[in-house]
Amino acid sequence: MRIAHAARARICAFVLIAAAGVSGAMEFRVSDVPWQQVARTESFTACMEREECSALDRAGRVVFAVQTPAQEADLAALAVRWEVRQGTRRVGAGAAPIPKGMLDVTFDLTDLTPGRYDVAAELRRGADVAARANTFFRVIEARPPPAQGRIALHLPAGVPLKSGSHPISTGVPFPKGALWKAADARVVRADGGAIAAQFSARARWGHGPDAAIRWLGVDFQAEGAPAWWPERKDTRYYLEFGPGLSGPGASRPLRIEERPEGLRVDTGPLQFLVRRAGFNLLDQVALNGREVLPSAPQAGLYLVDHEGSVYRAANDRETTLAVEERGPLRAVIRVEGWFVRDGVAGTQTDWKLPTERLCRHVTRIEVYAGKPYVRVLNTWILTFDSLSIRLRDVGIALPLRDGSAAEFGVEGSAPARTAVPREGARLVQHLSDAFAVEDGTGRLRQAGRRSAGWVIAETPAAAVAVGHRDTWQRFPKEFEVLPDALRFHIWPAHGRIHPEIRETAAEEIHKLWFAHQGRELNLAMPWACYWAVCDQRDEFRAGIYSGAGTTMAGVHASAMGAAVTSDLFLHFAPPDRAEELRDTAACFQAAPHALPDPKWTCDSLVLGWLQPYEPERMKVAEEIIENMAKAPWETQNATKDFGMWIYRAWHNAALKAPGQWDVYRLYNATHHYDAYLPWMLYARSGDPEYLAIARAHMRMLTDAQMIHHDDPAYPHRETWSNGRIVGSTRHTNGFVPWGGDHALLGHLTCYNGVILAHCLTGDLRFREVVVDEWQRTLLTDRANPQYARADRSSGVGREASNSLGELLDLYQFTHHPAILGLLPKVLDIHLGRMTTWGLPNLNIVLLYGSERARRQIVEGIHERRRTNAQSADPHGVWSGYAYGIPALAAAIDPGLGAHLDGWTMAGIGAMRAVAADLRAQKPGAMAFCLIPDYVTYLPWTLWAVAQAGGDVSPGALKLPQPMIVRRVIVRKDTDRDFDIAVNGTVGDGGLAVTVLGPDGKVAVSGRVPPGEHKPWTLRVPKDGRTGEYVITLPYREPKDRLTAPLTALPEVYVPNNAEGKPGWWWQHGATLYFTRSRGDAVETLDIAAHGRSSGSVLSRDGTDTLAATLIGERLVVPVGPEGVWVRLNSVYAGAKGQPVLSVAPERWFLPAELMPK
Amino acid sequence: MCSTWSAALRAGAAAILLAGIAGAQGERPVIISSAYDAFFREPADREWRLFFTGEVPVYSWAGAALVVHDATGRVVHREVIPRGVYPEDKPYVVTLKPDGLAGDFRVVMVGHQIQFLGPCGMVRSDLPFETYGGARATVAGAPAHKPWFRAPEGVTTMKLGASKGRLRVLDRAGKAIADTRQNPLKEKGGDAVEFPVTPGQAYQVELDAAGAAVVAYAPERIHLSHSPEQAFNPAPGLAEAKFWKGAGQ
Repeated sequence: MRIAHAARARICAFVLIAAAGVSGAMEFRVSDVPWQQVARTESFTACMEREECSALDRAGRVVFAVQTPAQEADLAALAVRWEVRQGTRRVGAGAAPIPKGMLDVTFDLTDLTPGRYDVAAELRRGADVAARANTFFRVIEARPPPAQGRIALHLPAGVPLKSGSHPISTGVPFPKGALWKAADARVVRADGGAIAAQFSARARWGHGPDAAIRWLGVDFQAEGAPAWWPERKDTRYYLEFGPGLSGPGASRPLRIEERPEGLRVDTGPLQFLVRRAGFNLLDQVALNGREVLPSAPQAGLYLVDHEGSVYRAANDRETTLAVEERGPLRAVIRVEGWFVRDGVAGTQTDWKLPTERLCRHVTRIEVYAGKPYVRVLNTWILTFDSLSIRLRDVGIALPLRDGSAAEFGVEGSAPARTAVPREGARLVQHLSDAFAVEDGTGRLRQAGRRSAGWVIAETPAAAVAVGHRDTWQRFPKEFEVLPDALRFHIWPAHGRIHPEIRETAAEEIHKLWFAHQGRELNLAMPWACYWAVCDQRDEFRAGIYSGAGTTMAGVHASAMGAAVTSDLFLHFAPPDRAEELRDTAACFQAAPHALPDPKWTCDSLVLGWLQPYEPERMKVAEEIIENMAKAPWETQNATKDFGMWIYRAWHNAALKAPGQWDVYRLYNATHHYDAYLPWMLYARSGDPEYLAIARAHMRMLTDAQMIHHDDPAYPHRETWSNGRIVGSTRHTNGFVPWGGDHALLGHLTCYNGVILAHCLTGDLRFREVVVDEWQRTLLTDRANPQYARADRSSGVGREASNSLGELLDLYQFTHHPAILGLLPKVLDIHLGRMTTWGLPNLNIVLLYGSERARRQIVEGIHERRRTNAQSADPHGVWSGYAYGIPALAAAIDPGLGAHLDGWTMAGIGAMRAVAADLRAQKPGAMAFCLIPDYVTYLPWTLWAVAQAGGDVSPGALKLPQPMIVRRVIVRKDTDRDFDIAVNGTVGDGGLAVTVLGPDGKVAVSGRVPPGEHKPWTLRVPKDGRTGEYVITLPYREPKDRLTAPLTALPEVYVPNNAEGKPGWWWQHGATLYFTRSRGDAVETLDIAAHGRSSGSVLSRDGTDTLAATLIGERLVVPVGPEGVWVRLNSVYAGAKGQPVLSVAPERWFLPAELMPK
Repeated sequence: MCSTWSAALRAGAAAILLAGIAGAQGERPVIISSAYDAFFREPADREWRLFFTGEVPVYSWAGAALVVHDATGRVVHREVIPRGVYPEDKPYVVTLKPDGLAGDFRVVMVGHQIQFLGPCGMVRSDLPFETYGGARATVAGAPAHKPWFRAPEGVTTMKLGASKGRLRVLDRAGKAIADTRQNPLKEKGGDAVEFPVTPGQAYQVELDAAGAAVVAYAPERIHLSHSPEQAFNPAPGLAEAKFWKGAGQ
């Protein structure tokens, strides 16, 4: 495995220098890390891998990094000295030269007592101190989680197989310290019987090879089973873990033998060779020792350019071949190379014709013990100028001998079976809902809607099946059977134009027809698209903040560096076993997956503080999540967002009209954490629909919306701001998914979704784009001029904040020490302004353990409460999409009751209506980018609510409210003193306060001086009376900003005038007041937020929303004695009649003046 | 966040005139104009040509679209000029065949989120009348170059200003008839001056600051030309015609 190799290499590089020459008890392991010298000024940083450590981490790490303009020559003269102190006591010190620019220093944590440790470092040039850097860490006590247990592995969509079993790859998260060795696990059936399984440490909690496992890769073979979802009851498999636990091995393990010509694979029933030179996919294929495919040196991957030249992977003499993952049950062979033109050496590459090499491929052949099939995950990477080169055919060919019959799978009906004439037979999926079965002359034999994604070719020696996932969704595609070959065409050789389609019509333009039809693949967006958008939007613009402008960017966009990954399945069987092929092909299409129990996943904290799906407990919130998260997918289905270049990029903008999208920023990549969201929702629920969404989105993101290849000789550059470099992620500019505006770091990336996708599924392509592309560029290509353009991490706000979140996610995944060289800058910026964009605050609080971040979040809660959301926000806690902040505060300090702040901020009532509109595909319901901004954090809030026992009654939130009346009525039930406490700001001139007693005469009066009061108090002395007192404070808007309540007595506010006429009142912030009917009879509450402001009426226990608006509509609801909460987020609010409001139910009473006469 | 390019394009009526660039561009005054507003008059139907000189840069990889439309917004020609450099002696030539139409036409060029007439190039023609401008027109070659304009028919008073520095208006005899140094009108966009004109008469403008723009005050617009003979005032509505309407059909 590649992770293991890398780890060993680092260990070998360690130099143990037990604090040579200086005193101290700590021992440090030091290794040199290459660190590119790219800065113009000298700098020296020290960065801990985390601030908060415990014995569960076992080892700590600090990285010293230097940047010096003189580069290598100067580095040789530099050294670092450091010391670690606990208070005034020095506990360790060390020194080492820093010849490569970075030192990775690790040390044991197990012997350190709890407390803070300060690390002081000096960068020395000879005897001189050139720079100093400081950092610190804290050691805390941590109780280890249970070291053994049993985790349900659900099969959300089941395993649709009539007989036999199907390979399953999944990932299971573990809390820190629960599992240390991947082998200490086994998979058991529901009856307790252990089955063969394979385990790997997919990610760890720390940097060392013996750190606790964070994600365990689990492979096993599951028998046919019904879907676990939606009943969520029938669980067939469990993962058990504990020290020394093990399960049975594979009855016949996979065998992969290294040979000079390549890798010879034996799965048991299937044997084949993967060639190193002349890679023709599978060679010498035999079924139980009997050849089923003839050898064909020219078979395998190929493509044809628009001039007719043929390029083949088999022609590449420099193909690399490796076993990427190796186990007894499942292994992955990775092949990487170029498509090389027939008849040339393949040494010359150009982005235009002529070229000897045209496109790269990364092909993974996944093999399974005991199975006569393999999965082929083929990634085809475009290396050419897509505005000048077109392709006639892109495909994969398997050689056949005497192919006689073909059977094409058809979704929902019987397969289309046909004899194979000399010219062959084919099924071409021309459109998402139209395929044609034709013979080799083009004569139509059968037409239909949707291919089932497989073909079976029959020969005298064998039946051979090729399956391809999402065939109609990723049209056009072609399955072709010839007497001597079975071909799958990623781009059809027999495509056609569909003249009936109006390519640039408003309801068609988003489908990018220029790239989805015709004889040739042509990725040059026509100018006609630009003119069409100008026409449709009635705007002649080219700027990036317009639909026409982003279309203009699409016209000029280059697809160089984009990729297409095809998920294929090759199955071999004796000629009389075709039924077995059909059964397995259907199962492959279903892509079975096993999911660790959502509660276990959430409790592990690998995804943060997240509440598992609980529709019974949180009905309304779960309904909102589902409506919002599924609405885009369903709307895209309804507008036929299908095709190989758009399935399934997501949209930034809202549905404009039935069938029509607002084309502004149409394909939006990762902009608002769309790539993360469906994976998180799947992990917390097990709903397989989220997995389908997540897979399609992630494939599009990691294929077309990231740069996988760049050619420095290619002069085309993006005009807009960011750099085009391998690992950069496409942002918003450009109509096409591969369009411009790429970035490596900044608010534009969402690599945490890719990491989660890999951890949950084991898909190695996902890991590759994170580690071998993004991380490699981040750490080793920093001198590339494009890097500086693509790095937006220096920007304040969402740029640096998201960079921090992403870098911490990356570090938690790979623990590459050089990532800590990038961290100090963004850490400093973020702690200065904690903008929420993505997950920086979760990561900084939970993973990094920043005490400062925690303190600032808690201060943010207090400040917000104190100022009624008018906070000056000194730490930036409330900037960005911040409503997840209260959930973090609830985790930091459960005593804060911050779950209620979160619940209130979530605006459940208003969002319920929005979500319903979205799901109903109401045009303009909401820009889609806002969905993840909301849904990402709602499960956090639900977690906080659940931790607090589920109490979401607004009454429990003892917040002061903006004062809404100048006449407050209180009731004194016993004769005693009471205080009037004026909180808030009083402007120039002060404010008179008058208290009238039950007799209507002035009982006491005073003047509140100007200034801010916390509070100013006026005592009403005991006077021998009980009854109602009226406090008048004629505050002036907007300079007097007071809050309610004023007293500790029952206290009510009647905002309208004494005549009861409808009216408006001013409020200096959002309000939340309780009201109820005057008696037992139900009355009508008729209330509104002014302008286009939001408001809602909640049930007394806070769990239900009785009415809501986002645009200032009147809220009219029946109200009984149980009462309701009214939330109005506006400057002015109004009501009909005279509602009697209070800050809490127990303070509410009906004033005498309103009692029936 | 604001886009520099989109901001440039928002000044859609702006024109830039670079004049008197010696050396590489030769001795002949060179006019590089305008964002969207290059205007040509075809007095009678004939074959005529447009000459684009300048550069369609690499970030405009798919080329730059050149559109010719009339005052009704009807597009009479549309063509993509491929990326590349088109020097004075080898311009990109667009030929418009006789088509039964004559009159005033506007030429628009757009590329990749950038103003194409202006920083990237210029369009001239073999027609007798060509002019550049709109609400304002930058004369990058000032003060050496003194472009011409023609007072619109029916207009006896015009108000012009300079975005910076001084503006003088000269009659055909070279006599100054207006000067922002004398009783200037203080406007937001710089000093201006109101002066009498003879309808249909040609005048010359003189700016003393490099890169200054001539600013026209509504209802008039400014259309600058290389010579008095070429100067004309395009048909009303030509600059505002929504030539993109129906373009997607």
